[in-house]
Amino acid sequence: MAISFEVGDDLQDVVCAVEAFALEQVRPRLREAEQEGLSPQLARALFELGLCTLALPESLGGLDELDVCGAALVSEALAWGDLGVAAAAPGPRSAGACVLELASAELAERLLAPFADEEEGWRRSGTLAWAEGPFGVDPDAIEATARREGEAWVLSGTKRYVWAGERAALTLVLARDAGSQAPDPWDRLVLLPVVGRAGLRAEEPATTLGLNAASYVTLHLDGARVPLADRLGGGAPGEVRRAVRRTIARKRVLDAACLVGCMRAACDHAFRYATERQAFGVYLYEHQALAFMMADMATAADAARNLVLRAGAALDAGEEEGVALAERALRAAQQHAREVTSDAVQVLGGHGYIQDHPVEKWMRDARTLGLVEGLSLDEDGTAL
Amino acid sequence: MSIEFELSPKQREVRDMSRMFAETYLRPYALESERLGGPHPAFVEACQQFGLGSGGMGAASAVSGADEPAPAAEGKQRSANRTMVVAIEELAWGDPAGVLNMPGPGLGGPPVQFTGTPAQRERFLSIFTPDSFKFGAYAITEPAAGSDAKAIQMTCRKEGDHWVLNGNKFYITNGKKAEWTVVFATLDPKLGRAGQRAFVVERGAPGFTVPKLEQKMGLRASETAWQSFEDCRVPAENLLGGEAHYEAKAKGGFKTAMKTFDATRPLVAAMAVGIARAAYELARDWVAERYALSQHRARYRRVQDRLEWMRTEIETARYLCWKAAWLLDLGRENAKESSMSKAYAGKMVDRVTSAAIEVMGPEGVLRERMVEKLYRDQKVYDIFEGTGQIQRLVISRRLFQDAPRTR
Repeated sequence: MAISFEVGDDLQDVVCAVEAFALEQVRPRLREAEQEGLSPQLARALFELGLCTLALPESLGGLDELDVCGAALVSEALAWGDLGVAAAAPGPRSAGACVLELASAELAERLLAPFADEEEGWRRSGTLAWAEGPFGVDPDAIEATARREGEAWVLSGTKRYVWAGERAALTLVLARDAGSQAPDPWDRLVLLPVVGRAGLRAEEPATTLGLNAASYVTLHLDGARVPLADRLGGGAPGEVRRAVRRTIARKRVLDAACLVGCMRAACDHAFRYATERQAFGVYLYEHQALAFMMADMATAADAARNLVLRAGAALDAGEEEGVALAERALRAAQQHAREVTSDAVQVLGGHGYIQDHPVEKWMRDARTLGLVEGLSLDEDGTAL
Repeated sequence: MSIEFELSPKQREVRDMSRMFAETYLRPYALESERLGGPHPAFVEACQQFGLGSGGMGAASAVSGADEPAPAAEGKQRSANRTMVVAIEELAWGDPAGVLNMPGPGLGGPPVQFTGTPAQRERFLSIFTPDSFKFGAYAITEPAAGSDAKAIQMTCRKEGDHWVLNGNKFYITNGKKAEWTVVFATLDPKLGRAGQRAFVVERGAPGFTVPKLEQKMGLRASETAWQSFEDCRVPAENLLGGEAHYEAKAKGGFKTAMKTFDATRPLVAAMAVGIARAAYELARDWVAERYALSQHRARYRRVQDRLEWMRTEIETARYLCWKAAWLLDLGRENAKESSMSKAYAGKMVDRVTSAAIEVMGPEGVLRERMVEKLYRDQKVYDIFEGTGQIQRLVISRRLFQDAPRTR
């Protein structure tokens, strides 16, 4: 036990492999992905490298023993290739993590094993249909309703900002149990996994500032049915709140890690440009005004990564403070990423503003991540 | 080895001791010792009683000299730098000026450890016994050479078995009461770094005087001296590292100065973290008292948001310090990370203490409040041990060390 920033050799090997992939397979296709979404080839390649099944344990086809810290570093490496591609990568993602939090082993396997299917797994995405408004997940304000009808829950209501909501194979809905009178509003909520598309109606995906390879939609729950036994958890008091909090915390750490990857990519691109372009007879980096700006960019990226690792380590150790640390890590990463990606555009000047270079895209992507999904938690007066 | 933020049992113990000491012997006397312009008697007594006379900074660097190879055996890893950043945050939380009044070789410790001969280490460091209340000091800065440390004008020339020093050193912490000062001088200003030599000048050396103690914006309980050297004679054996050191390394003197910084910058940055945390906690507790029952719900929310932001800023700086210290413990290159911690913390502490004052409104700027003092104290953390600009210079040079040059 000691303070250590050492990434173990095994994990480092994985990270290096992902970075190599990011450089060779992702970077050349980032504009194509932005305009047309992920191509089947790229989605399949991500899947084959194991990047779509980070949330799954080895028994279900995931990477061996990848804890939150490990998943964060791998996510960072992919997002270093392109934040847009990382945000659009298929897989069970946070829905998978939430299933693993609460579902029985049998149910988890039934819901998640299809994501590891060698032939079809790469086509499948899992998503959280939780938010209903722009201000996050507020248990008092959830209006989507689940009614028991015979052997199934029947869902009604509308969810917003649902990632891949128009095509997800697994949609994890947070809804109010119409029959519950529990005193705590959290305990009136149920987590229901909708498999397939029946009873779900998605509106046209919204056009967003960035992360255009991904889609965010308004999803109407038009009578989607979930077998009674498929409800996540057994209805114990506090379990939904705990699972929601932990899932969001983990997602925040991974989102923050992706922002770190994006910051590093923007730094790399700007720093290289600064060693190639001359102004007033010297390289850009030899101008102190720019050198100092770039020193701050590098510091911000390092600083943000430390916070990601701190929060990840806390969640991995089951520390109570992990949830709060994850929130602060994402907040800091958002602030730093906003500044770093904007400064990267600044280093390139006019070139930075033009789409021949990726930095303008990363600036838009970074600003979008963490905001578009509306997954802030609003409780005890401390809104994100 | 993996990513970990847990303190070792030993580090926890040191942190708890430091916290206890800060709560009991630093914070309660902070405002009073500022009025006194020096350490409070109760604090001096406590230092002796707890046997703190050997000092921390010298000790930390002693076990972590960057010259020594990292220990091969796993589990036998050095951890002194990590322990020190953790401990010094606690002490600075109590009173930043008080930290500078903690006895020991101070910033003079690392150069004696890094560069001194075994005989010099013995001679100059052994006087700091646990029950002593003695100081060492470190002098580079001159009236016309601050950040540009290679521009120093103070001269040294060899005369028989002595060196003769001429010049002035400014802003030297504990420069009057120190038993000795590590002083940087040059054979010839035109030689640049290669001409620099470091000496250990003992108090009472002929020609060495302290014409003035400075009045400062903050850290007023800490002594800041102008040291004057007029044909000051120093025995040849006080040349730090001996002649051999400077023959072997053309940039010997300058290198000694820079290597010191790799170890001390994360510590100074960690002090800034301690100051920021102190201001944050004072503001938080004040808010909890005043706002909890008030009607200003909207403002309360805004203030809470501000407090959360302060906390994040503090943690951000803290882990930069930890990482720089961790690298040093492992014997790895850390100049860039060390400067990153200092660059970030130096600005962070300004933002956070300023926000603390803002949160408290008119109450925050009252002289008898600790936050007011902390706001004055913190400003120098972006100046001493290398200004924020120098840190950015170090970082950017490392970022572009392999890039082509036009000049």
